[in-house]
Amino acid sequence: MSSSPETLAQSSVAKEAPGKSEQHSLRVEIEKMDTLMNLMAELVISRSQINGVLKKFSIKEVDESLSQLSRITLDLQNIVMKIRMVPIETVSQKFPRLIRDFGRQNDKEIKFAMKGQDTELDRTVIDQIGVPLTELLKLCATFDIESKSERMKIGKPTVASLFFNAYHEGNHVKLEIISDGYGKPEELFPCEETEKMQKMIENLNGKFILSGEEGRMTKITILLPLTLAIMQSLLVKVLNNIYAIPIASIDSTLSLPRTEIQNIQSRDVIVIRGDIIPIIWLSDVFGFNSDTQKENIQVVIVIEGNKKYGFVVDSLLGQEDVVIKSLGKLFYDVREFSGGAILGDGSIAMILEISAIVKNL
Amino acid sequence: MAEKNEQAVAKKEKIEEILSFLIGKQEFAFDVDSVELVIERAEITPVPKSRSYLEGVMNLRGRIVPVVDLTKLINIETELDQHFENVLIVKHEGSEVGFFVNEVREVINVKESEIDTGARTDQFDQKVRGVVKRGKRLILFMDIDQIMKACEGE
Repeated sequence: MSSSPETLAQSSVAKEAPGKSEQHSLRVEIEKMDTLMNLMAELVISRSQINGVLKKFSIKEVDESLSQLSRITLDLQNIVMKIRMVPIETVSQKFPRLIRDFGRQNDKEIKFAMKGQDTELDRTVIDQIGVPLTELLKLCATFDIESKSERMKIGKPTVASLFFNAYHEGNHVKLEIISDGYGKPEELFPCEETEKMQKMIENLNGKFILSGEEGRMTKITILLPLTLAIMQSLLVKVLNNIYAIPIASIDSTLSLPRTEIQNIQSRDVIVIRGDIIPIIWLSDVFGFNSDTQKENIQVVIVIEGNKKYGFVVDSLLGQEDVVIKSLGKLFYDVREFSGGAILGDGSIAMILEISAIVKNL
Repeated sequence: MAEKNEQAVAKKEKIEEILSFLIGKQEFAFDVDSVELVIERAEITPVPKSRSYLEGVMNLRGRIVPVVDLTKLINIETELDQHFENVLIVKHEGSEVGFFVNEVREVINVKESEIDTGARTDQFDQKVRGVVKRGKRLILFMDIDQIMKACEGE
């Protein structure tokens, strides 16, 4: 069988394809990606705007097109997010060498291990997480891990271990640094250093937790949001203002008579299917004077750290994809909000930081 | 005589462009380069639990911008029911901050020698670069770096 030029061309393509497909990638300037992300965010806002206006008329054809548009925006949003994701490896690959060199210079022998380095984070987070991670590893190596001679004296293996782990947890990525040293980070780490790190992590809308077990280990946990820009939220009203609660933290919502609230040890609680759930009046948390005496209260049950809490709001406005924006450095001391969201009508909703709000309880 | 002297100095000295504005009855000024724009007061969303001089945030073309009440930041006495109609947007080291003002007046060219630094008061501490005299008007020329530091709670 003589092969025509056409089939030749085809077969050569077929031959090349398997090898090449793994490398079919494209270099894109990060600025262009940022523009794409911003446009995406504007599209989401714009869609909500149109949705808000047209919902009142309930025209069947329009509604169908709108839900189609919603699906497309959601897909587009997901793909833009995915494109921006980069494995943590890009910053962590230099860590083993860094630790080895550090150990040599400081008479410490440190066995360094990493796990989950293919865990992906948004490019902007990756860009800004390298410095604090490096600093935190150094803090552990300097202040937590004992010198060789010290370790020998107290009967610990002379080779210390330092572990860096990354994994997904719900809507977050968790980064952990664990070292098997003194285990008293609050006492041993310089205060200004840890505060600086905390600020850097919080600038990324992340959380920073320092803990230790004396004589055994120090553990640094960093919780970072998976996506920076767009979040599914439930919009609620407290007095005249709108607030956004991350859907990922919500268990359920319910309306119940005020009389169902019980008081245990001067705390308001409700009992649902046998669970005792503490009640938090958001108007109190925010320092509003609200004296609503409505018969029924609206409660949003949220989950934080395996525990449930009931947030009392004035009304539920519905679910919406919101674009998260930082409140800026002037509000660095406000822990109750993780940011602001610009809504379809151009107004701003504060986004609740559940963990900070339940801490007050 | 005094005029001649001034002219002689003016040849060498720097000229500052300042934008003056009113808060209550007092006239203030910022370096004009630090002012991005002046807008009518739009809806301001309060941020609970924030420091008292932070009025909240506003939506400026899709960006969230904090709004500061200078009267609370540096204790300017005003009438009780003071209402501000305008917001002056300042851009400083990449971030934008809005300040409540009653009225924006004008851009004035000021020679450095015309900024009276001796007249600084304790009340405003380092936040005033000096006082500028224009006829009967006494304009407090504010140091925007210091104001921004104060906003950040330093």
